[in-house]
Amino acid sequence: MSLQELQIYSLWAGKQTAKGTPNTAPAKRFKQISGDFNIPRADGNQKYGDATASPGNEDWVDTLVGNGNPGILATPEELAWLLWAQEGGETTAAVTGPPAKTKHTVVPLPGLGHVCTFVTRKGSQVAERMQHNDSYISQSEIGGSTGSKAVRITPTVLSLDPGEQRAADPAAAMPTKATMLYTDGASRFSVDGTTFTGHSEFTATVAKELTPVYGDSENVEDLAIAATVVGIGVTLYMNATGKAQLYKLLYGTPTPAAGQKPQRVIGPLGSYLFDLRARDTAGVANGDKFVFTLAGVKWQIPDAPDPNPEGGTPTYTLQGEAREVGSTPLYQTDIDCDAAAFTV
Amino acid sequence: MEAIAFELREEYTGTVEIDGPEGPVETPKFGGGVLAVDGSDFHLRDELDEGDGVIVIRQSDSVLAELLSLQPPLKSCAVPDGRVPLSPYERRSTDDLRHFASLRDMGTGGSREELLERLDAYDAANEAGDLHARQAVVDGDQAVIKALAAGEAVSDGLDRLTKADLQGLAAEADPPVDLEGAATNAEIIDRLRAAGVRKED
Repeated sequence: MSLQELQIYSLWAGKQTAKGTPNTAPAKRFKQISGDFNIPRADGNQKYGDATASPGNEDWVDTLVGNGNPGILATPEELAWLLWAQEGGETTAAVTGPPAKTKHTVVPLPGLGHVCTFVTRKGSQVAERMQHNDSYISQSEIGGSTGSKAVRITPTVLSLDPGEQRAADPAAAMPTKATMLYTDGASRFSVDGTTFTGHSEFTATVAKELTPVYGDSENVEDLAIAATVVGIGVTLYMNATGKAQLYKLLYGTPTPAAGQKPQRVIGPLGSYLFDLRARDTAGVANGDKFVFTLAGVKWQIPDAPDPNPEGGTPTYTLQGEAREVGSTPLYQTDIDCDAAAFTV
Repeated sequence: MEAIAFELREEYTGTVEIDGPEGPVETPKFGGGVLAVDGSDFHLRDELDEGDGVIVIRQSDSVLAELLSLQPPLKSCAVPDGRVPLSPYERRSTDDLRHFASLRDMGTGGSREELLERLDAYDAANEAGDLHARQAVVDGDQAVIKALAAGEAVSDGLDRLTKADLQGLAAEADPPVDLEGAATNAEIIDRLRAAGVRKED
């Protein structure tokens, strides 16, 4: 008997025309590196006395809602599609280049986002194909680092109609483009307007926090939306620039004078930006671009590196939360790629 | 109905020349975008094209208004004269329309177009604060429904009554309306309107 081959798998997704109308031929396919879709069913129970030592039990199905957290490599078109699907909107504009591209701009929007179908396939001899209908993306985590240079996005997917069996894979082919790399942003990682080359990692999280609510059925009645929260974490080396940044947050100045003590007031908001520009095999920028902008960031005071008798690499992690600055969006992503405005 | 409008910011209007596979081509600067609104799609490029570069929506359509106001390429602008705003019901499914009609105690039957007309008329009456017209919509008064849905002012119903009915209304009004010297229907209606009497009164 064959065992399921866990290394044989793939992931597709497509926008539905409406909730309740699955997209059986999703047009996007992803380079999935981790994560899975699950179909947890919660059962309820009520015990009752029946004059025996073992009370009787009344059991019922409480809820059935699917979830997924696939780690996906950030190929330009697929990254732009996922961000569009999560927020439920984008605007596009022509980029003259050369080479000519389409800029996909996404900002936080109210609402659930686009309703999608995700299709999963695992194994070959023991194949498992499912489609997870009426899915919404409630959170996306985008990250890259010097240790793991392929930038990835991990959407948190909530499926209101999960686990429908499929007979065959969708036809959409794998992305042909290379993944955006962390090093595509060399010298374009900016914290509070200062470029940090000693920037070894970033993790940006855009969370809508969708919560299922139930009515007269075990199916989800609707999804409650919390306020959009955008978090950013970056790891910096404790060099002269890193020390200046830490001191700026702690003392209010990058160069505290002798006798100066940590400030006891909240300083001005900071900012964060990276600009990844993909390159071809000759190392030349090919026009594909991913710009992530937080115009306002409330940074936490970071913990300075601990001393270590063995030495080691001095780094610290800067954690922040995006804040609105005037009418500037909480966050903005601009992705230049070859796809026109997304419709499906 | 109160309306608001959006158009492209200057830097997104017009076309640019880009290198296509067969040489330079003119392409619009703004490529559009599909927004999720109330579980349906709103195509920015199509709506701008259909509206001669201006999207006009009802002020009460707060979901769409907020979505449009958050799009960086769009800005508010004046509502062009005579433009009827997009109905927020157009993007809804027919099942949704029947549900909305039911919530408003209206008939849930009929075609999608009839449902749209009834719901638009109901909102127009509501926005005008005209409870009589709203009740006429609920009661299925086609003349009122069609007028309101088309954005026209509605009649108070008096011009659809017979002379005997008009005289009856004048007699039943509190205080009764003096019809001395009013011989024709139009003259009687003028007296009734001056006294604030409507068909439903």
